[in-house]
Amino acid sequence: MDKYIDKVEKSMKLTEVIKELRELNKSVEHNGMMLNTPTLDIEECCFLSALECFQTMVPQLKARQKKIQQKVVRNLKSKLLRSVVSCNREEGKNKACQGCDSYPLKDSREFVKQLESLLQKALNRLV
Amino acid sequence: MKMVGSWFFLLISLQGYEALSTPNVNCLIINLDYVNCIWSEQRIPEVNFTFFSNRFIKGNMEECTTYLQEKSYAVGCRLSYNKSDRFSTLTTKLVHQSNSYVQNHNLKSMVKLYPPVNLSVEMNKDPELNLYWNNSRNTLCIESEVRYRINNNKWQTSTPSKEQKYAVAFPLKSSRYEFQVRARVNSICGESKFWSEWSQPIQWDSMKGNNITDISGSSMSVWKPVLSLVGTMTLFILSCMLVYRERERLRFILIPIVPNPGKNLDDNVEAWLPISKEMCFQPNFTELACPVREYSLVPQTGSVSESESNLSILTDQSDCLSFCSSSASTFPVTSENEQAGIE
Repeated sequence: MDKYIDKVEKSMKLTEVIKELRELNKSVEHNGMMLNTPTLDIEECCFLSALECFQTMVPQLKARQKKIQQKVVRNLKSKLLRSVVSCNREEGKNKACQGCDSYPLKDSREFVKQLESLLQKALNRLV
Repeated sequence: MKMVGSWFFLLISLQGYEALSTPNVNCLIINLDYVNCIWSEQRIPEVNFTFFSNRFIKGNMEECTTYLQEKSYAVGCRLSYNKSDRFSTLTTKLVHQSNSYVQNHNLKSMVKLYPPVNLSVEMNKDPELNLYWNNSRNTLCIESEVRYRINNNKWQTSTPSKEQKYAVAFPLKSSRYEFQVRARVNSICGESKFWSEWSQPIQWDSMKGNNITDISGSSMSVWKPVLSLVGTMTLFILSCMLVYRERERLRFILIPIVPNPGKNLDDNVEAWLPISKEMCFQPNFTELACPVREYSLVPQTGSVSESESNLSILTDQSDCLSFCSSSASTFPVTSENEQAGIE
């Protein structure tokens, strides 16, 4: 039963963040700004590292609605979200994940799209 | 300048030629169960390609193990699908002789589910017509869309929802409702580009007040063969009983005793004809006509007294009865007897 509640909580959190991200996207000025965008073609255990890269980049977006931007960053830092994305610790130690700067530069629209995909992948695995 | 121009023109035309012959691979995830990659959408290939694919994490390209064939040519490949594979880039490679064509695919939205199943309709007391179904996959990521029509009029479509039920409030009386459902992955989970096919339709007839589907027909048709079978069996049992009761008569009618002509009639008949000796069979038998005389009363005094009347029939019985005692004797038919007997 605990696992079920845990699952429901996590899926609700992920749904909330995805909706907020879409709201943020509407208020962002996509004027060709380029950001290091993590790809999803990475090891399972590097997903947490990729999420952290996204989280550090989000404040760089030129958003008119600052409140929603801060909310998204706060949620991306949350333990609940991180617990969904992370993998088995033992595996994590062995795998070397690439640094945020090593990811290719993409425009801000593509950046938001990739972040959404990462969150959706986590949600799909959960439900 | 002219040389450059002509070379340029040649290059473009060559590229154009290449573009025509370059196969294009299209991959579609079916019901989140497997992936079909097909390279025959533009035209049926004239050559057999070898197909390779990998999902980012594996460095090596693996050859297809399940080719899809059409008219002895390979037109596609079936790949396995694991949860969340659609979020990874799929790289495909088609090889023919020295030519190879590589493509990267983003399959996140390239999903087509199977249509929903197990549709059922029931009326509740509100009154409300409730439709229920099962999606092809058990996940919260699916949304369904319902369409229905009343008495074969125009279809009305609902807004998609994650529920596996739909209600029509205050359904019309004396009407026939027809429902269909289709499904896809919802927007939050990464919306699929394609809806599933529409499910098998289900009908509700408010007059009959019951649930009927196109496939199984009305509930009455289920009973028809059952009732006819029961009726046939009852008739059969009754006829058997009748035959059993009247078996002697029927046997006599259907199977008469046939004398066996196999034996020579010159033989001693007594040997095969089962009669007792008391019956005293006589081979040279002449039937004796027993004389019968009839007397009638003629009233003389004028009054007839019935109690006194006696009608006695005198027969010369001694002649009739005594013939068995003397077996060999024969009695000639006298003229006297003849006259007396025949009347």
